Amino acid sequence: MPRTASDLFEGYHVKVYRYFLRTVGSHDVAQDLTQELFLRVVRHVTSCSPDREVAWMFRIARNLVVDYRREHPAPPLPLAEAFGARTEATQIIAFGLSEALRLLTDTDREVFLLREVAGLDYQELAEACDTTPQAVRLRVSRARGRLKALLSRRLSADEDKRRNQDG
Amino acid sequence: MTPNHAEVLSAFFDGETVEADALATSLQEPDAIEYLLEFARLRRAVHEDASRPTEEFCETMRERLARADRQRQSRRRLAQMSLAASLALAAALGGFTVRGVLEPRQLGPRGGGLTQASRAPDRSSGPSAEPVSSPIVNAPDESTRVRPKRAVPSPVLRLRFTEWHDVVL
Repeated sequence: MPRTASDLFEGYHVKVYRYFLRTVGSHDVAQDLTQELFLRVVRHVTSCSPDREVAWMFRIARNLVVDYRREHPAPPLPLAEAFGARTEATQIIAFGLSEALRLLTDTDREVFLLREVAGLDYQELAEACDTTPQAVRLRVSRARGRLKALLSRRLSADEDKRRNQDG
Repeated sequence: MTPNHAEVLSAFFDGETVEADALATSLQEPDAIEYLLEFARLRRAVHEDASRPTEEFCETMRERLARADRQRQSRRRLAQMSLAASLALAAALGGFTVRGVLEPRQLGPRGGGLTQASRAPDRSSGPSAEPVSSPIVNAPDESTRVRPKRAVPSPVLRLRFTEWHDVVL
């Protein structure tokens, strides 16, 4: 029996919100998009089979982001405050990650966030992004490689700055 | 690290199925461990995110969705009942029609078509003459005459029909 929209909200609203927040960079917009997503879910939840509802829901989320981007083509707001990292080490990497995410292509950022934030597997990612699992595998790897490179650059730049301040 | 090796490590890190030989080759790359550690750091940074929608927003959404779910379920139940009522009605009407068509044929045509008035006895053969057997069936008198039933629903069925009609409308 398919789950109700309320069940899906309880299970996924935080993940959906974080996906939106990291994509659009604004708390208010992320909440608005989360609301819009679940209102669409409640209208169409019976049309989706239970084993595909996560991919289906994040496909709607992705489409909402695409629509939002079409209407608001300005670059996303700084995301640093979006990452409430708890430890000092992860604060550094989180700040760097928020910056680095902005430098990824839309498709790479989207696939990375859907993988890491929403926890979709490659098959679900392929369904959500209208592509194949092989393409997803390549995109995730490419996004990680790019993030790794950007973060290394960022961390070494921070290190140089600190060294100059000490010196 | 070549893109292919990075891709294998990335898929392995995500718990996807990878070729064992390809994984072995990728793990032999000098920076393979560094890659895996970086993937783990990225994941940790993402998962330590504490951002959440406000509690007020969540409460509002819970109420709206619960209400919408209830409405959807009641609409669905009503649709199922209407469908069941329509099917029952169609079956009943079909049954009446078939009954109306079949029953007169089973009982024969109306108006005593198979019967004929008895002939007058043949007086020419004398009073002692045996009665001539005839394939013609004597017409029954009015009290024993069988009339074909009309295809009219019984009161019980008519009552049900009324109920279904009310349910559907």
